[in-house]
Amino acid sequence: MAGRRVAIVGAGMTKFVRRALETGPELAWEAASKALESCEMTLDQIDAVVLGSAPDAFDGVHMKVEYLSPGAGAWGKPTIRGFVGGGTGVFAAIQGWYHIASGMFDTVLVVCEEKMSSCHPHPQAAFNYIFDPTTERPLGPNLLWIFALEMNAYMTKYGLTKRDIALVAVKNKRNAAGHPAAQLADPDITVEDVLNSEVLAWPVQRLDVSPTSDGAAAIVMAAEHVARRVTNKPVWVEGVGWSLDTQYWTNRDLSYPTYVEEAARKAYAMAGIREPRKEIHIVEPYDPFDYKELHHLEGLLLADRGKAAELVVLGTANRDGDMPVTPSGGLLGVGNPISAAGLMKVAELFWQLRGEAGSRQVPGQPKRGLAQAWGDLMQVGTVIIVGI
Amino acid sequence: MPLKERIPHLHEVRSWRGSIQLEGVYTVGVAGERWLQGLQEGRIYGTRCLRCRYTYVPARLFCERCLGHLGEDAWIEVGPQGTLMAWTQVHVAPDGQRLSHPRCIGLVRLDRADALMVHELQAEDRPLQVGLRVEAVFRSPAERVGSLRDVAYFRPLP
Repeated sequence: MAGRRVAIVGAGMTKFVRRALETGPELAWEAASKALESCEMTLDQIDAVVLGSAPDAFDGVHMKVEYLSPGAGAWGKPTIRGFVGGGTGVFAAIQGWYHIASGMFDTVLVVCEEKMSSCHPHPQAAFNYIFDPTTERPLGPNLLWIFALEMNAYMTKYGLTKRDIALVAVKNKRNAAGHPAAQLADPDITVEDVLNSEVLAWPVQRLDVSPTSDGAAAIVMAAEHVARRVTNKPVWVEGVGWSLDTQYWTNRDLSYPTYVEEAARKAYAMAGIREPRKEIHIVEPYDPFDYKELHHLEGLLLADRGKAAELVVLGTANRDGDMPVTPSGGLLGVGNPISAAGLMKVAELFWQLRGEAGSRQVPGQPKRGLAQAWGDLMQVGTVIIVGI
Repeated sequence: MPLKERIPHLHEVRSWRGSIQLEGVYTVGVAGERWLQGLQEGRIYGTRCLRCRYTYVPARLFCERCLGHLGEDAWIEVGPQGTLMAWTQVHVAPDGQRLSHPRCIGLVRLDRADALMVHELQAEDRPLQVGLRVEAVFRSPAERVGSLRDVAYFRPLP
């Protein structure tokens, strides 16, 4: 493993909600101060800050990380913005890792915030401006087009049914029932509910998709000598990886996320993992759409191509299954304040591996977990592996 | 060589016009709700961090220096008088147009506050200088809506 050993020693988050009264900086502050309190540290013990947030258009403030920085404890500290779109939440943790692994800093506060409710008429509208202005925008494209086309290609290639995929939404929304921060937990949801929800862009229906949310999450990371003083249960960063596919989404393999595989291979190599299906005990893949969790499990090499749905159908991916997938409830259940949702997945691993996940706790004392996020223009994969 | 130094008329090349149309609807936040309510009542509030010995205006929910919570006990009234710390006279609008009536903008340290407050200055014919004593002038109670503009402007003390 490159550089110094780095551990996560604290974590905190706000509730994820449809529309928060709090301003963006107030949300960031709540998560940051909870993370510090969780490890009984104070801001003057923090050397540097990593602040992650997705497109400025959501909060509606240009250069929004500067706007958010007071709440993230950035005053008077070396501070950097992490930004790879939806992949930001996991990438910010990776940035925190290399700040410390490099020897530059001993302690880093990583904060991710998103306030999507500021963006009207709908946060989705912000995505209308990510497309090429002359070769795509004249068609009036919407981000959902990409997902609908990708989901259709994935289903067709492997002969998957809508019902197979809807089971992911059911699992995650049920898992979220134990999460105190959850926005869309539903312990009673059924496959029929998902299949009967309104069609947005075939085959994507309302309950196949995560909600828009306001919220923030934060973790505290520390070099080994500090981590051992702060806690007797440090959660070590064992591997990280990230990779970018082509910007031209029409040039990608729509049925397989190559960028996730590239990121995962880097992380596995760093962690010395040869058989990920045996050595990863908990997976928190990025699940803004139900099919995307399956897509990502395959990219992470945790399922054969086209076979991830079987993990869900057979119960392997359940909280008490052999390889629990998204025990937090994920973006589909807890909510999707973009960057904060990715960091929430890292925080979930922190709580699970320390045995602090309450009613969400995965049985069997898991020792190693993987969190992954996906974003930019749907072409970045970010992966972190942590263990105790 | 396709790289042109300058395209004087856009109709000489193909182009497609598009605009970015998004509206922001911003909640004023936990501290903002109370701060703006204060302005509507004709009062300017700050929040004071006792640990950092710093008073924020506008009032904040937390201290950015220690991340401590600034709760009920932290709220104090500041101003409405203060000291002009810097000023400028603005002659050009953001779109480049010359203003027929230049605007004066000032940074004011309100009495009992540490943070500075930025607002409009109206000095009539009084010469502006750093260090001048100024005061906030509120709109009439009927005109106030709970906005930064409930303070009409700052003016020099007589």
